[in-house]
Amino acid sequence: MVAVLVIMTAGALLGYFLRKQPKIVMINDKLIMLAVFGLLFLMGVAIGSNPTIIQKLPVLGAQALLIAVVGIAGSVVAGSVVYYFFFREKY
Amino acid sequence: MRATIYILLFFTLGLLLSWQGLLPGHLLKNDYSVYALYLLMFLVGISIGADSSAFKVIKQVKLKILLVPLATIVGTFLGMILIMPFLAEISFTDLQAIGAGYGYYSLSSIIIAEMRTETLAVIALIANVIREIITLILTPILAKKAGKLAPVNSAGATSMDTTLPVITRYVGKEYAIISVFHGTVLTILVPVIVSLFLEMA
Repeated sequence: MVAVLVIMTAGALLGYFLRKQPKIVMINDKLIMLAVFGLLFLMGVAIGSNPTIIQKLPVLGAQALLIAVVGIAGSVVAGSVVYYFFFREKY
Repeated sequence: MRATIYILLFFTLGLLLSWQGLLPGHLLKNDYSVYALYLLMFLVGISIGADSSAFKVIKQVKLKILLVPLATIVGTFLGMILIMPFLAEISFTDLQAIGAGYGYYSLSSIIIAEMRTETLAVIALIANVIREIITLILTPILAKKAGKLAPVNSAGATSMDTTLPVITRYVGKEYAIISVFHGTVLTILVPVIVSLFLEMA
């Protein structure tokens, strides 16, 4: 986590100095997409060569669905409490 | 949404190619992903630093705006605790790490693939993609029944980009600012919280 924080903070500082260079910022955003495409492709490659995962995919998918639904439900409940007490009328 | 489809296409393409044995063997042993991951985080950092507009709203909307991403974090955390008994083979901290993707499926699943197993990364990828899709579908109902913040909390980190157009349409422009702020804060926190949970175990 420390490595993540250091790397992202360093990036954010550099980004802050580059914020008035729209061309560089645009290239950076394209690079992010490229990196994400590449990494997800590689993840697909790793998973495709793993027969155990392929076999378990329906189970993993069901678990994922449960996690997504409950994550949303919890967030929405907590969010509506915040909304009720702090945002309802004033904002 | 188009970016999501492209990303999933790349993932599926890699999956199908290697499943069918159509890729050279050396691609299959990828040990270079830590550096790619660090590079990606650096680039994400640059993108956040260059776009500081989201943080100017703190002055306009006051500090209570921080409660919105906090609600998403706490709500997701509690939700994961609730389903722990049903997912016995996933440890508490791993489950929290998956939840802490808050819809940011690419980065969170890449981190989990690096620090844990591919099985866990697949669950994280699917769970967080589903979070985005459910949000896109349920936003109209959520906005009506659960208050104007509900779609934002549901969207998680995606409330700044992929789900923003739909959210803005159903909760109004004044909440669009909150939505962008919420998504930006969570986008920054996803890699931090995910790796924090993974390092706890």
